[in-house]
Amino acid sequence: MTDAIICRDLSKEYAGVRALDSFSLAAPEAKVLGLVGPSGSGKTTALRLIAGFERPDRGSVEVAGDVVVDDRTFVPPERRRVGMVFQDFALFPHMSVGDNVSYGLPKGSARRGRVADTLDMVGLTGLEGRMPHQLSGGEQQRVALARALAPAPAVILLDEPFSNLDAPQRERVRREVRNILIEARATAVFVTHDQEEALAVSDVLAVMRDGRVIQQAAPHELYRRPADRWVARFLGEGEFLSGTVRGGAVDTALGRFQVDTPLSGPVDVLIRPEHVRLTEDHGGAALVVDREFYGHDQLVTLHVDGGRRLLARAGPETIFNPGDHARFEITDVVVFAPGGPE
Amino acid sequence: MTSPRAIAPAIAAPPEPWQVAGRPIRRGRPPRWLWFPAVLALVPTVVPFGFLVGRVLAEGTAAADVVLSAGTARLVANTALLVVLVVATSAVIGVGAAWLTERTDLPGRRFWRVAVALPLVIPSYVIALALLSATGPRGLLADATGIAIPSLTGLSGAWLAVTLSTYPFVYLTTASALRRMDPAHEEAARGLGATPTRVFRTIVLPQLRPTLGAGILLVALYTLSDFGAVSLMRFDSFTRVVYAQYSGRLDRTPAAVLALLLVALALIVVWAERVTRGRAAYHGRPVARPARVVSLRGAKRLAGLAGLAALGLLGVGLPVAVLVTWVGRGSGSGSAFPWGAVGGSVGASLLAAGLVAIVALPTAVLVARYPSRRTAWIERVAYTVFALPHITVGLAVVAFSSRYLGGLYQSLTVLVAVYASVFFAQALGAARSSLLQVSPSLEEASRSLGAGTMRTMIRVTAPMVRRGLIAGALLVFLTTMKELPATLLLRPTGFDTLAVDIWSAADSFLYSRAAGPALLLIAISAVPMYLLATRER
Repeated sequence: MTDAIICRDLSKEYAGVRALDSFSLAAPEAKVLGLVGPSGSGKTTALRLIAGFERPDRGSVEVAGDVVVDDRTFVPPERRRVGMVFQDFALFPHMSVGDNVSYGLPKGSARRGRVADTLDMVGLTGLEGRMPHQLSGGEQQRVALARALAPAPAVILLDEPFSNLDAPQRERVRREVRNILIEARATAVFVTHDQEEALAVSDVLAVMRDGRVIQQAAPHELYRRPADRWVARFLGEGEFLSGTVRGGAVDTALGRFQVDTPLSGPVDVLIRPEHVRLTEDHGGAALVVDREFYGHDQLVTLHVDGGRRLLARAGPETIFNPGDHARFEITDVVVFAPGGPE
Repeated sequence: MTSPRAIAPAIAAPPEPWQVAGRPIRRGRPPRWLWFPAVLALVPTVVPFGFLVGRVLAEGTAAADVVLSAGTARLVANTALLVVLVVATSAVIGVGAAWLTERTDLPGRRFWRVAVALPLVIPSYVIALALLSATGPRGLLADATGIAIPSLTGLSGAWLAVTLSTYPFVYLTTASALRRMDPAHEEAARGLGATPTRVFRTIVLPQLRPTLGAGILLVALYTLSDFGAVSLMRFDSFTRVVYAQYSGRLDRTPAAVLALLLVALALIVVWAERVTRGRAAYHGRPVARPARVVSLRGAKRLAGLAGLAALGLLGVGLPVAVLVTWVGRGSGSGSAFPWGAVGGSVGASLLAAGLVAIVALPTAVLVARYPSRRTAWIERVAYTVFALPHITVGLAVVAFSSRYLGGLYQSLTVLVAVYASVFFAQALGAARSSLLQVSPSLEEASRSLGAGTMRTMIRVTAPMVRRGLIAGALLVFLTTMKELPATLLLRPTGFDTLAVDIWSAADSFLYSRAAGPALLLIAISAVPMYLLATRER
């Protein structure tokens, strides 16, 4: 597997604020890489440096094997073969859908066919003559994608591509976009601050903090084996306690659990809500103190073991109300080296 | 007809033109060629101005003698007196008219909004010529009514003429501020028991202060640099004396020294406005809810209507009536209509407007898309050049071009370049503010699709900011049509504009000869004004 984008030690400051700090990333070819992090972690800056809209203070970027920026080189954005889908879609409002999509194509007879093919691929067959403002948000999103894909760029970058869509259509559009990218065999990097979206859309996920990538792996890997407490917390809810690994299991205040880890001795233990099984039981050891109901499930806050907080995810059938008692069972835990950022 | 409020921001330029907000530097370096149009636009005034400063400094004691002479002291006193009178009167009239048309229930407010802003299309020297020929024992008013009115010349005439042509700056900025003001503040004050008068004094007026400051600044700068009205009124303020020194003497040092002193006065005015601006910030957000209007009844209603009517009559009715009368009287006098001047005015104004539009687009991209300390200087210099009195610019360019430019001395090329340069800020401001409403991601999208900076500017940026560019070009056309002092000094031999023609005739008391061209100038100026006022909707 080769890498379509390689960033090495990129650094960038804005008026004294460090946006990127030795940022390194490798995006595998024909995969969707998610770049996720809290706002201000430098995700968008990284994307803009790859696209060539800004210059790094230090470091280099390679696209499809060619150096596009380093100490001596700066290839302007128009010659990088990098397609971009913007947060606000950035469709040219004075051009039709067809003109938008053909904007990046060389003049010639093949142009019209390519526009039609690309619009087919995104499911907008025959909409060449429409103006951008006549389209729904989801359709605009797909035109933006078609426009970026039409010149067959080496890689395609998507900056918070779903944040401008309403909640109901967001999940549908995001499935469609992922399918289009897979069908086009495109190498894609997309930026998001929404960890759920990142986990759902990416083949590979890179988590950013303070201008650098903390951890990069497949989504399920990341979720199962976060590098530190911060990554664990960022990717999902849960409660921490301390424990000691001894002989293939970890001892904690809430019991002893099997773990598969190279670590030994003192560790931090994360208990995810979905790993806490709740059963209705008036004599149970857990006291329900809060509950948020989501429809498909509910998130229950418990006090166990004399005031220790624990989160549990339960199905929608049995409703747990504050004040109820329940029985709980921990089915799995995540462990990692102690300390590190919260 | 729509209200002229929409053009207020464009005419007033940004409210604080000398201050460019410190924005974070987010972009890379602009391509080098992007600096070229901006420099090209500013060089025709900046370089000669620098040359003039250098020459005056080199004079040393001779220059100091001029500065310290008793005549100069009188000149400063005269000019300061005129500025104070005009500013005070314009502020009262402008705020009063704005309040009447925006916050009361006077009938015909839509009509009055247009009528009281209309003097903007009438140059000060046309108002002056109307006042001069209408008053006096043998004036038109005496002819028509048999009652002799004392003739308006000197200070009183200049005061009235300049006030009538400048109060619309205060009126337009104040009216638009009144509309943007959140009525909740006033309602809260009323709810706490304040009378309408107290609300106006303690709530409305303080919130108007920044806008009023900007309007007053414009009025003061305009008064300092007005040449047409003060010269026709024979009032010895700076511009008139500079021109007399320039045209009447071989030694041009006194004219140059006085011209620079005039710039110093302008700088003092700018500085004074900044110092007194105050620190409170009022954030005017677009208000969906209109403020409740005050109901004027009985005598107050009549007084309000009479005030607006008097303004409209003095500022528009009188000049037009006077001009029409003269045209009627002079129809048989045989002097040929100056069609050459019409061609000169329209041609030079079109050239300047087109040129400015072409250089304003790349410069707007430079200052709006690559904000940095260096690009902020471009804006600062452009607005400073815009504020320079044109008599000074003219003098500097004459001195510079006669010395260094040889064949270009008193050429149309230099004249148009100077027009474009001094009015550059108007188009830059309009283009910049419409560019700031366009998401930069549109241009980035174009770049990532393979288009270079130039192609992106032509295919994406230009269509997006078209409205701003056209508005800017219309403003430049309008102001170039009316321009007088720089044209007087710089026009090629045999080249005439309507402004020069009107002023020369009026200066020699040939009112009937000036009337036709003046009416035509007003008519031509009204076209861009009308377009500006209507297209903003």
